[in-house]
Amino acid sequence: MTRYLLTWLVLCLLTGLTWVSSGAHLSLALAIAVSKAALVVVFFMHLRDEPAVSRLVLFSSLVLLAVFCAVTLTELGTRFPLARP
Amino acid sequence: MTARRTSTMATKAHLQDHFEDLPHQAHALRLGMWIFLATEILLFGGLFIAYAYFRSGHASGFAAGSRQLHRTLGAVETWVLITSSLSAALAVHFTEQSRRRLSVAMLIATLLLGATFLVIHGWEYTHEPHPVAGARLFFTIYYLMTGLHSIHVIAGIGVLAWMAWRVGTSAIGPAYYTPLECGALYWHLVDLVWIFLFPLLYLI
Repeated sequence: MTRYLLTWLVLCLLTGLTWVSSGAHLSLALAIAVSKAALVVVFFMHLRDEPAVSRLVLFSSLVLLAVFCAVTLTELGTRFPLARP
Repeated sequence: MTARRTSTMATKAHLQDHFEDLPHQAHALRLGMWIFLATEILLFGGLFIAYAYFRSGHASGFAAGSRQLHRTLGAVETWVLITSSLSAALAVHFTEQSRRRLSVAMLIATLLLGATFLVIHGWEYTHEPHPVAGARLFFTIYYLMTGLHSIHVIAGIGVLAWMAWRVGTSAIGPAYYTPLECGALYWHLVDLVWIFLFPLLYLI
């Protein structure tokens, strides 16, 4: 139970931190969001205690998302300027 | 056979006849839930990529649109959802510890926090200023993403209300509570999506 409360406390602190640093660089906000997501997944969703196959499912969805993102943004980045949306 | 004979009443009550034993059933249910969560990640992921795609060409419009949103309210909504995630996790914890009343109380707290989120967000929807010029694309993505997210919050409230009923009537107890765990997993995913929506929509 203390573990849950500690996780919650850190999540609150990180939320405060993003709010205070709003308008700063986007990568800072995203780094904070990723750390918050990791805390939720590991402690609230018990990823540590899940069997390896659940971790594999989560991991493969993230890999697919990364591929989707990389291909789409590469295509966008290498376009002839007038063909940009 | 000895394992069979020692199977409790709880096993008989919960075991579906197409599973060998309760651990198998729990494992299958949890794996199915994680696969469903993976599809949800890809569903929202598609929208996040659409966001990146449009933002790359319309950075100033997105910034202008984002400035129209209420940052502090966004932070309050984030806090509400994080706290509801805590209460959902505690509900599972208390069921595991055979503390039924406390578990139901935590589930009701989660439902109330979810409703609070929807009320704040609904207030935002009705008080949004008129989209400024160049920010229409931002608001399209904003309404699409937060709208889909709010539908998930409503679905999560439905699932957890059902779980609260089942825990309250002892249909779910410490002997077998995987459905409650899966309900909580869904709620945590809804929280996860908002953790990314908040900085990308409110803080740019």
